[in-house]
Amino acid sequence: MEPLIELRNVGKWYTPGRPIITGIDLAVHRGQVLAIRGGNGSGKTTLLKLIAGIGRPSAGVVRRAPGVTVGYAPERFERLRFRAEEYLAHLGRIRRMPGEELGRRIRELMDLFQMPPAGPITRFSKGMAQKVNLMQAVLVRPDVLVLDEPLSGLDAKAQAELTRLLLAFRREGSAIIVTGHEPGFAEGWADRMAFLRNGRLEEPRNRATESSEDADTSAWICDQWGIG
Amino acid sequence: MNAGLVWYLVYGYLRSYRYFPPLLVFLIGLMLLYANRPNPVMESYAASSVLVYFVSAWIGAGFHGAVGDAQEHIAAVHAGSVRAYLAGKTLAVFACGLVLDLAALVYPVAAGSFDAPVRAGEWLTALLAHIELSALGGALGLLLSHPIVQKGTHATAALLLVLILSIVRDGILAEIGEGFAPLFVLLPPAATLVDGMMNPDMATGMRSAAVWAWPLAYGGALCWLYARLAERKM
Repeated sequence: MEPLIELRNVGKWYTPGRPIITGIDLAVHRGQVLAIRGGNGSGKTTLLKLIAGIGRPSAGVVRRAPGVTVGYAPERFERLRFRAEEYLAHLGRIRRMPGEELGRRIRELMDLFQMPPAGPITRFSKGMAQKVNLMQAVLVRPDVLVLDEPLSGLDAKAQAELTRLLLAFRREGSAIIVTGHEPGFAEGWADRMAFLRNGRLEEPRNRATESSEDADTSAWICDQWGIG
Repeated sequence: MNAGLVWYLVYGYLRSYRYFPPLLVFLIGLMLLYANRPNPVMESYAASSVLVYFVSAWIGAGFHGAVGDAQEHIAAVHAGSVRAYLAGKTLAVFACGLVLDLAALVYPVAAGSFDAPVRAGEWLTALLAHIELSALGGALGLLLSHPIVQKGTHATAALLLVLILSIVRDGILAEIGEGFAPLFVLLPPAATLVDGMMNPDMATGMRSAAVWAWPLAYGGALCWLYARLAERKM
């Protein structure tokens, strides 16, 4: 099966000789959830931006299957003086979504995310703002959903709710690439777990085939790489 | 052109209230310019075009901060590419400049501030000059601001220096001698446009074409440079 997104020997740097990420090989298929763990400054955001099509790699190639739609939710979501529906409507018009379809999709998302009609996003709690962030990423049903630390800073209840939503998108067939740094992050719901440190990606084992004898592999790697 | 993107960016800028200081300076400047009546048509339009040049640069420089990095990334993904986003952002700055242009052209006529009726040729000349100067200013503002220039203070200083030098270039050369002209050759051709507006009879034939075409080419080069540098920074 052709991957939706494929990275071959991808590197990115702003100053020659000081790569932020380097030698990244990665392929993501439909319906997969790939969780990438790494500490602060490990290059997670840079990698996700390249996957989302923001900027070009300094080395290597990022390939997308024809017609693939990508949704992207950054870690830091600046709160604009828009109401949530208004903000989504603007982004839908940028996507050139037909008005009727756009209105229907926004109502659908407001229901799905249990968002009450509210004032401007500037007054939202972090959890509410993060919901809007996720809503914009799935405004057009994405083939690949790229999420930069979506659970960071949220309380347990909000984390559980957002995880439930992510799994719903996965069931609809979206591939999800998600980053995080918390211990235990994405365990139990990610198909694949990769580790990013000093700009290099290490994917030790496909979790779907992980044997019981190697149950401690993730913990060992975290320990070796000094994360988690 | 992605009209939805342009409108979103203009709307976001307006909602951020960052427009307020430049708009206030523009309105006060315009009122001071026409405080006394009557006024000569083209000299007054030349002055208002300089005002539009500065205020458009201010708007261009303030556009990035209206949304922030992450919102720019989101908009770029929805627009389909970083280049499409940057093109939309440039057009949004130009659209704001166009509103200033029209206000600067219509206000004195509506207020009866001129000493004679504005002829069609004068109006067209003034319109073209205002549009070109606001576009030049806007492009300079985009180029000489964050994130292209990392430090805000450096960006502001560089922008003000370029704006002022590009307007007073001829006065400085008159003082220090035309031999220094090559030092100023890379500056935006704002003074040439203002001269061309005030002395339309002196600019004829090829020289006239150069007066009006060179700023367009220069502005195009600024936009290209901005897109290249901003794409790398995103």
